[in-house]
Parts: sequence; structure tokens; C-alpha cells
Amino acid sequence: MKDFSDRILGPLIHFAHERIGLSPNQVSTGGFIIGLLAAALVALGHVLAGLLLMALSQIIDGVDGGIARRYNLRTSKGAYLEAVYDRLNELTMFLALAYIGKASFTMALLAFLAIMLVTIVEPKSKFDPGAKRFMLYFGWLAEVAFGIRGFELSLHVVFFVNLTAVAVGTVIADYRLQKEVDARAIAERKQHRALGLPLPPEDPPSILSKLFSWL
Amino acid sequence: MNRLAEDDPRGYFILTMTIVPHLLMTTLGVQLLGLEGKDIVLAYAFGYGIDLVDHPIKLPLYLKKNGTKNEKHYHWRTPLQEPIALLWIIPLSIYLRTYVPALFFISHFFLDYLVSYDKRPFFPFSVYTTRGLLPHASDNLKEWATVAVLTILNIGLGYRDILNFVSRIGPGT
Repeated sequence: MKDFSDRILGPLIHFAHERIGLSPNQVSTGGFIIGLLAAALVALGHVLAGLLLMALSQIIDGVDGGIARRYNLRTSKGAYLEAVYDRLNELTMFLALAYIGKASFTMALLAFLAIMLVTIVEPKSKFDPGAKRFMLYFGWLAEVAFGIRGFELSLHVVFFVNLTAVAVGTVIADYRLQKEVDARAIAERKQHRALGLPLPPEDPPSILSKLFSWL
Repeated sequence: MNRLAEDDPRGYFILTMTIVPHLLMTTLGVQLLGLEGKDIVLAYAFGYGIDLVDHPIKLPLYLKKNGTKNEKHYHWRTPLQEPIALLWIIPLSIYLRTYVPALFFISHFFLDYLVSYDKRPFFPFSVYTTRGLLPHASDNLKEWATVAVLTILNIGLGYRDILNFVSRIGPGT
């Protein structure tokens, strides 16, 4: 996905870094400020203009990562800064929508909480569904096309998708650990067999293992 | 059964702690709180059903490692039924505007923590491992005591309902 976005944003990445000489963190800061302006526009009632500016902020968000990857400028500080900027942009945008009555404050805060939880679990699970600000475009479409409270609906989706990702993420991390532990045990068993060492005695069959053997 | 329980905490857990005490505890909670409608569904889902989702997740890994052979102390649990799951269950409870998922989930892992197999309560944030509450007491004793107390309380609370039910289906009707 990142390779794909880097290809699409290639000319912008080249322009921002080689022509203007911007660092990834400077680009991130620019994207963050534009994101704040987008939220301000929404809070003033200019929803479409706010969403367009948010789209620009998200494109810039892709450019900073692209510069870091292409020119090998990745730093932990940069990744941290980007995460903080992204979360602040999401929070301000959700609150702006709640402020103008397009969504409830409860849903804005719950959706943001779910995103925060994914941010905390993601470094362990490497799993992030990415359903964040992007869902708001669908909310706008639903509102325009069907006359429903699309933004509120999109925040429900953001909440559920991210909360599910938290639960799934913890399971993924645990599954990975178990796989490692099992692989070590299997390798040890193989080594014992190869060296002709006696294997530890097997546990007596349980009811479940008998059932599985029978099946 | 008792010998299996003492020798094999894993088998013990699968056979009893998952099924009977969780069902009894959840039923007791439902009765005590007078839950109705979707709250009953949530109570059984988080008080009992979470086991049905959690344990099968590790089945492919177990089969890969052991085939159909028994391994006593295999770690069958995932963070779905560890206290760390409150991270997502509490927001879900707030969203649903009911305390039922969080409360019944706590009752679930409380019972699990009475049995002395290894648990990682805070994984993936910490690999701290514990054998739970009262690890030196016999699992068998804790199990039977829990079942006995929960059964008595359930019957005590549901006494009137049971009598009503019996009188409805009795010969006088």
C-alpha cells in the first residue's frame, strides 16, 4: 500500500524534497497545520471546503512518509511526530463535526478513543485497518446522496473498525509469540531426535486429544 | 475426573472451568441484576461465549505442534479473555450504554484466574505471567467450592421461578 502511494505521489515527493528541500518533519508539520485549518473550516460551517482541505492534508501526510522512505530519512522521532499530528488532526476534525451538530460529541470522542487504542496496540501487532479520517468522505457522500446523518454514521464505523482492530491486534501479537514458542519447541524436539537423546515423556491423552484422534 | 483435574490443569480447565462455573456465574449475575432482552445476550456473550471464540483460535497452532497428542500445559488463551481486553470492552460498554459486557467479562476472567495455569494478563504490553489467585490451593477444591456456592445461590435466587414453573407443569394444571 505504501509502495503504491509512493509511486502515485512520486512527483510530489521529488518536488518537496529535491526542489524545495523540505525534510519529512517539515512536510508533516505543514500537513498538520492544513489539517487544523480544515477542521476550523468545518467548525465554521464550510464542510465541503473543510473536507477538500483535509484531503490536501492527507495527501501531504503521504508525501512526508514517501520522502522518509525514498531518501532513507526514517527516524523514530519523525514517526512519533506524524502519529501525534495525525491523532490531533483526527480529534479536531471529529470535534468540529460534533460542534456543528453533524455528529454527537459522544461518538466523536468514542471514535477518537478507538483510534488511540489502535495507535497503542499497532506497534505490537503491526495491524492498523486505516479507517480513520478517510471514512468521513463516505459520511459526506451518504449525507449528500441519501440525506442521512452520514458523518455520525461514519464515526460509528470508525469506532467499530478500530475497536475490532484493537481486539484482533492483541490476538495477532499473541499468536505470533505462540508461533515462536512452538517453533522453538519443535526445533528442540528435532535436535533431540537427531542427537539420539531421549525425548521427554508424552503427557497422557486428555479427553479432547482422544476425541480428536477418534475424529 | 478428579485425578485428571489434579494432574492436568489444562484438561481440567477445558472440561470444567470453561463450562459449568462460567454458566452458573453468568446465570447468577443475570438473576441478581434482573437483566432483560439484549442485556441477557450480552451477559452470556461476555460471561461465557468469549471462551467459545478464544480457545479455537490457537487450535491450528496446537495441532501443528502436537497433532492429536496431549500437551498438558499448552497456552490456549489469547488476550481476548485476559484483563487487557478491558481496553476494548470498556469503550464497547460505553458505546452500548450498558455496564453488562464489562461486568460479566470481569466475572469471566475472575473465575479463570482461580485456576492455576499460566496466564499473561497484560500481553502484548508485558510478558508478565501469573498463575492467578491462590495458586497453592488445590484447583479441584476451588472448582468444586465455586460450583457449589454458585449452584446454591442460583437455586436460592430462582426458587420462586422454579416453584412457579413446577406448578405450571404439575398435575393440578
